[in-house]
Amino acid sequence: MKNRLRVLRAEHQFSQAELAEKLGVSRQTINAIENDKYDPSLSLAFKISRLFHKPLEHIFDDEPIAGRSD
Amino acid sequence: MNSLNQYKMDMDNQMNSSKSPGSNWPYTSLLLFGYFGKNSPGAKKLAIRNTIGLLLTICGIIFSGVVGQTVYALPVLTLAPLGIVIIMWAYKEYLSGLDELSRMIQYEAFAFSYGAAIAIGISIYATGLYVGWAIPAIWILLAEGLRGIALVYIAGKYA
Repeated sequence: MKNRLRVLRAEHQFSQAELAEKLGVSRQTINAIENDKYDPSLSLAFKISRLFHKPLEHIFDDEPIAGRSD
Repeated sequence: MNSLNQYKMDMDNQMNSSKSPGSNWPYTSLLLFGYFGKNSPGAKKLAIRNTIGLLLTICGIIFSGVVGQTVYALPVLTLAPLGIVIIMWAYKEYLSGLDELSRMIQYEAFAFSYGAAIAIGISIYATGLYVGWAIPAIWILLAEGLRGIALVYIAGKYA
């Protein structure tokens, strides 16, 4: 699943560590989401949506990533 | 102001690059100890609780051969299972304190090491029976080693 997390994070001038702390996850989780290697749970996706005041579909796109089997 | 501009430039560079910087998973800690960073509060608690559980188990095994059928037999025989229960509880508490990706990596590593260790362990045991060697059932110890390797491999997929 593609996402715009890196762009939103940059717009809000958060580092990966700062965003991870705000969302209650590890920095590695943020990194994996930004690199399209991990799709967040629904609850984490909603937290991201609320934090950036954007609807889910503005942040996440369910178009599959080429080369990923899931 | 300069630092803000520098920050924006860094962010632009990150956005323009195809990938973010690497994840820096604590591979050594995962391989040797089986958890994410030995200095995190959760890992420290896990290490202490595991040590207590392991000591109880070892004491239970050692003393069970000594006490015989005395009045101390029952308390001593409960030590080893109690130690194992403490280790299981410690892992449960540790996993519930992890974030979702770390927990998923731990679950995947448990699933892999459980199946692989039983398959390899039974193969070794069956070979021992065939050639007449008394090879002990080692797959429990094998599972821990395999879990460390699995943790490193699976964490690497999300780096």
